[in-house]
Amino acid sequence: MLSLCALAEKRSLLIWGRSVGPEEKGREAVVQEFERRHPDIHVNMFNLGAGEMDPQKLMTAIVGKVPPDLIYQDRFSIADWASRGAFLKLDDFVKRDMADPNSPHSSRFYPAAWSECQFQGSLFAIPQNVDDRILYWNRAMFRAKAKELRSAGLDPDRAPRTWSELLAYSKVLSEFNPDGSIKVAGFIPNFGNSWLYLYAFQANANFLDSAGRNCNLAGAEEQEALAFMKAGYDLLGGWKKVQLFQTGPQAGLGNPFLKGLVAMKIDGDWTLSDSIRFGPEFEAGAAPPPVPDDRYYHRGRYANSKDTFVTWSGGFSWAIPSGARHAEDAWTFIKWVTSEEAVVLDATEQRKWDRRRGREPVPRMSARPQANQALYDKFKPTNPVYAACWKQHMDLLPSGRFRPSTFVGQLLWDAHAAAVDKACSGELGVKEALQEGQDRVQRELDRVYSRESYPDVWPYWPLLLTFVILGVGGAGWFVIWRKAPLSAYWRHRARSGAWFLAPWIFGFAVFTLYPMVTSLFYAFSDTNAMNNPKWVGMRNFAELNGAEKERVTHSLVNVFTLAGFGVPLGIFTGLSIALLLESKCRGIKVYRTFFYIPSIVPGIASSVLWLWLLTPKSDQGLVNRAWVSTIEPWLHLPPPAWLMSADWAKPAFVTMGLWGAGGGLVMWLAALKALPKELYEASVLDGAGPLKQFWTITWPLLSPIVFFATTMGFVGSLQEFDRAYIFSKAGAAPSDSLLLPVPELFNQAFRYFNIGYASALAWLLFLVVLILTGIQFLLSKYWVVRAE
Amino acid sequence: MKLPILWPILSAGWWLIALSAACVLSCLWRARDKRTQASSYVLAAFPGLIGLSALKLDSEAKIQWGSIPVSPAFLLAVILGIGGAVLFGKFGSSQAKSAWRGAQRQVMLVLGSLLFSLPLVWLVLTSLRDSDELGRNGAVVGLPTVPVMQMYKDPIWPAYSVEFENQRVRVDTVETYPDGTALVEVQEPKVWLGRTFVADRSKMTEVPRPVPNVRLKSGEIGLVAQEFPDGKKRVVVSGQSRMLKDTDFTPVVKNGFKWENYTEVLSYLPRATLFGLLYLKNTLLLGFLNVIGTLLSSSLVAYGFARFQFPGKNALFILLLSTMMLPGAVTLLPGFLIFKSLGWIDTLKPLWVPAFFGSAFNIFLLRQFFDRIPKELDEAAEIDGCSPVRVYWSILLPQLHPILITLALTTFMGQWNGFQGALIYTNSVENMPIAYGLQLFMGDRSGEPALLMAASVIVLAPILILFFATQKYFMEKISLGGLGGK
Repeated sequence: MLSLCALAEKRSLLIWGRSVGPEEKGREAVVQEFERRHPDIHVNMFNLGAGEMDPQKLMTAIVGKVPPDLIYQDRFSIADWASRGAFLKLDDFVKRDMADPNSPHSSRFYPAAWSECQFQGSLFAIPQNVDDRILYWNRAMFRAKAKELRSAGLDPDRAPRTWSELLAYSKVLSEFNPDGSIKVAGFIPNFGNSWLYLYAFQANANFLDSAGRNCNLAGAEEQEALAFMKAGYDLLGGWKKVQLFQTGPQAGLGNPFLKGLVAMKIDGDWTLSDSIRFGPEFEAGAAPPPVPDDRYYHRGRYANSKDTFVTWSGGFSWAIPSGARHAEDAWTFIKWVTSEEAVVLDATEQRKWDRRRGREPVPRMSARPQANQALYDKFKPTNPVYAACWKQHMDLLPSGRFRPSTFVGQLLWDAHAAAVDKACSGELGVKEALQEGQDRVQRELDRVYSRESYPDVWPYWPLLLTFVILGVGGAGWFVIWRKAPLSAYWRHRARSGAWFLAPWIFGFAVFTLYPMVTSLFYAFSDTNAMNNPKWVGMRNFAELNGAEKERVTHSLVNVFTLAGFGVPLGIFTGLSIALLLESKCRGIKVYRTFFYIPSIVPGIASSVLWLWLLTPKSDQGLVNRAWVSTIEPWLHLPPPAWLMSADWAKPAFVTMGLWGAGGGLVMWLAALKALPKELYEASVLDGAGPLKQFWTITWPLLSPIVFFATTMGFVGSLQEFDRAYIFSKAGAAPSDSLLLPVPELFNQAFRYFNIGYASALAWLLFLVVLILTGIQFLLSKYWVVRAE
Repeated sequence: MKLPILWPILSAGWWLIALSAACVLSCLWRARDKRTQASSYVLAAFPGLIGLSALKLDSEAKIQWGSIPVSPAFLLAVILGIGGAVLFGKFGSSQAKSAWRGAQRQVMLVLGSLLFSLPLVWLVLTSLRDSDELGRNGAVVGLPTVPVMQMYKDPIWPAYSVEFENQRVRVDTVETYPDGTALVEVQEPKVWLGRTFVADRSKMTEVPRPVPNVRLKSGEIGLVAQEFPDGKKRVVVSGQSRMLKDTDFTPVVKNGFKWENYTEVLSYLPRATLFGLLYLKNTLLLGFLNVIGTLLSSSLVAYGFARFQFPGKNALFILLLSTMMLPGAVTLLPGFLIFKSLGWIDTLKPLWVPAFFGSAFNIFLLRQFFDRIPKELDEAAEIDGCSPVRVYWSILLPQLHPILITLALTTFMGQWNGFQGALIYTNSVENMPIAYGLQLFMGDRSGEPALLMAASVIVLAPILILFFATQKYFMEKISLGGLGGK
């Protein structure tokens, strides 16, 4: 009884983004210890969705003022959230508790980790862990080629230190098959985890200017780094050849580095645990990632660079969403969970658990140097080779560089990845590829910063406008009411009649008119529901036709394709079934039920069902199981991947829709029932067969209903949401093959709260619906038979 | 014998163009008048245009050979059967012809309803399979097999039942401490699977745990009592424990259904949902409020439109009809902002309050039905001194009960299936309706088809039962058919 009362009085601390699974004993212990020390707080680590936090849910919750108290986030995205006002500033907390040696403070964390949590001079998160990248080299392979290395003037007992050394080693260590394909790769620039970021950091690149307003992706430093990557690929025979090597048959053999197929790689500390597990005898060498020659010898523009070696560092951190109900408790939790004691407790409990399972993974490095030292002393791998690797990772952390804190972080990532692809494959020159990416990022930066140049606008215009419209409408109504020549009785009756309309009129004003006016207003403004709207004129529409044109067109083409096939085929299926069911034969009710039931299956359930019916794995999916035992041997066609492939996703989607075509059955049966029987009897006397009867009687008489079904079907298809949303969540429909307007709008609206743009998109959709319906009405003249 | 087949491989664009050409040709061939011709062009325009836009000029086209293995006797039988039937239909008596047509129809009906019910049958069958078996044997069709399990009290490594967060849970011991406590790990319910805590040993009671039966190479039957991290297993054969490897035995399976999938699904749900009961409660509450709201308000407004004359009525009615064309997407975001300013996010209110202000389609529909009731009825009542509200409530509404029930059912089902609103407005499990719960479950256990299918069946079953119980009202919609109710 007592414990029940205590439970009721506890404050609940709701944490998103870091669930405690059955394998995460360390995390669990840390939470339990926290609850033991703070008996008044109950930690609720609620996991939304697939083990990962859903950004749309988080943003919706923050804007809706019901956020969790604490979230666990990749530091890389902190600036993006912060720029939207989604997170609390933590500077005051830090300052207040500075005296407490456990409390987070910049002096107690690695500078890279701490700085990455800052955006425009304020602190928005506290780092939990860090990662970084080093060069791993295969000592055995170096030894095996010692002679060749020596004759090239290279030392086989140490790793390369500069870019040119790295390339020279790679050249000697690479081997090729007789057909010219790669047998062993010395070094692949983007094999482990380096991307352009690492090399660019080594070249002192910064991607953005210090104010974060201008993108320097095409700067000289970035160009130098990308040129080095390209040289690395060219040395192996080009980008394409390396791709083939990485995806070829040997890719299935397991880790290519541990298998001796790649001599050197740059990779992060998170790969250590797997290496220890799968390559216990492996002779791994660890060294700082090689740097530009000038940097190593401290000459040229590196003459004043402090660090000889630099690495790229990232990791996770804790942030408190704006409007969190228990911000103080959240801060208490952050203080505990990032403390050395908690970090060591986490690792200790995790180690205990893993030992019982015969494994010995390395704990993730803490963002506090002191805690890291404690971890190393206590948990360093027993194998000295790997202990040295971990040491190397830790030693490099102080000279870590981090990706710029900017709200365009994701875009910068996408743009740089595209540039690497294009430059290394030779599609574009290094400079041109980077320039293309830079322009893309700059456009977004300009768009966001141009916000300030637009005038503020009074946010209550829509409300006022709604009242004006209602006022004008009401006044007009009042006038015609006055003018109407009604006797007292009819006037009284009219008045009571009008009262019956009140619920709808109120609902119309609140749930239709006001939202419409608001939406129209927002289509011309820029806001994210947390800041004051700015009047941007036609900018949102210009965006629909500019930066986002490709995406918008793509989504419209997709939805037209789906509707263009789905609606006519749906009508065809529905009508065919209705024609079959029309007759009075035995058991017709049972058949009718069979055809009708699929249409009442909830969208979610049918999506789950079809995802598995159509799964590409023929040992689990019914359709492909049937395919491999019939069509494949008969026609020599391999089974398609259906929803998992870009080409087949749409046919699969349409098929799934057809399954529910029985929903229209009721309508078709009624329409068929209403057809005059005399016409059929007469036509039989004329010797008409069933087919002729259909084309001369049934089809013309049904055409108004077909028209109705087409119009409504199109309007409905254009608004398709549930299935597309679920499929994209399940990772189906690659390369945007099921990118549809409403899910896109949903994302823009509830994930980014890009309210202006989402509203413009909504009105575009409305316009499309209107035009399409208009066209259908115009065309209907030619084929719909109207009753005369 | 192999039946050879020849067919072209074309890119999708070419197929579409071929399809549209076929449309045009067949309609032109059949067409008697301009109208049919025009409709053929309309029909052909879509695939044609899309085909043209998707056409890649470099796409290759080729002819490929294939073959279907058939036995000659079977082929002969098929040819004879079809040929005989066709001849019979063509030249038989008129009775024979109609019998032939009836048979055709029956065959198509049987095949069609099989095709349409197959996915659901598969859904139910898969929900009763073992997820492991599904992945291992590729047993997509055929009778499911399940491992034979047995409740077993292991004397060496006992399972216990103990209180955790006010509920009895089954635990395994990880470590025992000298102070009379033990570190234990939760096994059941699944939502806490792997949670460890320290329990008082005196409060733990020994319970059996389910263990699989295995057949040893010698033919003896044993139980797998314990599994060790190194892959070895302790197998108990007639009371004696032996340490064995996986290769030393095979699991005993039997044909049967795995009903445990259903309980397992429920035990995976977060505790706060009380095994999903809260989802159900939310959905039922929403269904109830939406049904009441929409029936009451829509019929009231429809009554106003149908039975009263007042200036501006037609204009208002046209306004009502035109709101039906407005895509929901336009009002989605402003709606959220309205509910946000009311502080209704993460409550159920945004999902039911709007229902109390009428829905355009239902008002439109009900107005037609009010129009069908003779006006004399309410005039007579009015002369007797009935107020308009009384006329509406006591005279007209009872006349409408079939269509009201139909509307109630469609509203309820729409609510049951509704997903988008819940996705936007609810965050905490306490406020989630069932469809959203299913979607979250789907994300959580995405790799286990059997569990997903079981969850789907759980969501689907009530609605199917409701459908069967009220089937005649669904078909009642036939009378709305002319109006185009879906």
